[in-house]
Amino acid sequence: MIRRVLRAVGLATTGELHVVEAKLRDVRARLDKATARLAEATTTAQRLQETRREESRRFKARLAELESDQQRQADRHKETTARASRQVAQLTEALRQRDLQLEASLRQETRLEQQVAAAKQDLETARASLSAIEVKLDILEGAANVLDLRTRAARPHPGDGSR
Amino acid sequence: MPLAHIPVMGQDSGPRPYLSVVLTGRNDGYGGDFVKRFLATLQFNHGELSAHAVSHEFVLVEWAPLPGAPLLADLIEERCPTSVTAALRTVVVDPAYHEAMTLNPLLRFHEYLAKNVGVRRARGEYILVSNCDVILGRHILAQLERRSLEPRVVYRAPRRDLVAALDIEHLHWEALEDQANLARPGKQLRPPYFRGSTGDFIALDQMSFHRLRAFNEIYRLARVGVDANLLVLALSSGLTIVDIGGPVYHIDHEGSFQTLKAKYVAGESDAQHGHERWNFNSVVYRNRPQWGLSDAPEESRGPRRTYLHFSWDAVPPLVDLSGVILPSRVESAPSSSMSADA
Repeated sequence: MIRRVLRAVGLATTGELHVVEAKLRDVRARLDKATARLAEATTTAQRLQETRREESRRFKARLAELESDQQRQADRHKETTARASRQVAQLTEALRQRDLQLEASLRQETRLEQQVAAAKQDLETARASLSAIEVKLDILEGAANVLDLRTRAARPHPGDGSR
Repeated sequence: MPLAHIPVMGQDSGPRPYLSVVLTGRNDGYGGDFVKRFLATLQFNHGELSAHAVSHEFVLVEWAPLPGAPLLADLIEERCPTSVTAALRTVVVDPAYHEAMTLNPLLRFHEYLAKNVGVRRARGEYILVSNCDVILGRHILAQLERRSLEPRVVYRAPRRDLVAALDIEHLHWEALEDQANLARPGKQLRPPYFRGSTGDFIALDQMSFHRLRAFNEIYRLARVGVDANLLVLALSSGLTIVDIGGPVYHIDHEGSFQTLKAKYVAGESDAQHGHERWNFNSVVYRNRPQWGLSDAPEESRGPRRTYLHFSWDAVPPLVDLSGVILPSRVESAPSSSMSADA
């Protein structure tokens, strides 16, 4: 009842006051702790931020380096491609020239083959004709021999008194 | 082209045989005892052809028989059964034809001029030109029995030479087919010509034989190569040449081509078979229509015996160069340097 009366005039008991003071101290302690943790967290965040900035700077530097490399390589490739294109063009032209020469050789070879075939045919014909001539000569020689024998047989021998 | 006139021999007007076997020879002691070999072979072949029911006749041409020597036809009548003589027809050719026709005085027997006389007069659907001591093998007999021969096909058969020691008068298949009795390895016949002892077996239908006009009567300087020359002509004329698939048999004897070859290797101009190396592989011929002494005056001297009297009208010209021709189509013909077959 005393507490109700005090509370009604806006007063509190000493006990309540101690309790409140304790609570206040507790709250202040917690506030201090929170402030300390906040400061710590802020410090950590700043460190992290700094780290991230540092990393970012490194990444950007590395990126710039890579971009520079890439550009150099691109330039080199462009140069190499141009050189290769020139070589391909040269080789293509050389190949075209060689094809023309080959066609000319083939035409000449075909003409030669035809000439050889014709010569072979002529040779075969000549051989066959020669074979026939040899047979005919054999026959003529044989006939001459036979006629010679017949003639000798028909002629009188010397000393047989027929002349 | 109309079929050439086929002279009718003797009185034989019986049914046409399926096969005429044309042979030539004379009683001159060729190669030892020729008569003994011939009679034994003739009886054996006749017996086997009859056993295989092959209707046949033998046409024997006795070319320029020696004066005083008994004719083969007479010896056959004396020593062989009637069945043999009944199947035999003989043509005896006056010796004057040999003297008038030969172009090589060293050639004592014109085998293929004689065979032409037989081919010209053979009546069979098919004509087999062979030799007096050639024995037909069983595969050939089977083919003849089946009547499997076809027109426009020249049939060839490889020859198996058997040792001379074999008893010719007692022939039997076991001895003939025994590899141990081979005198030398058998040769395989090869296309396109299937050459090799060609004259021992050439079978062809009568019409085709007549179209070819049989063997070469233009080149009369050799016996060797004339048979192979027919094959070249046949192939270039569009006929087919095949191996009939079985052999003929021949018993070795002195004086055969195989045994004479070695004797005359250095001096073939003296050889009684004439030149070996004439161009029979690359040059062919066209006989006159009167080939085979078709115009010779014939005298019948028995039911199955005809004598050809001499007449200059039947003798071909001594020289007929227009009959020397080149083949119209040569199927990979080898060069003439290859040795001839016997």
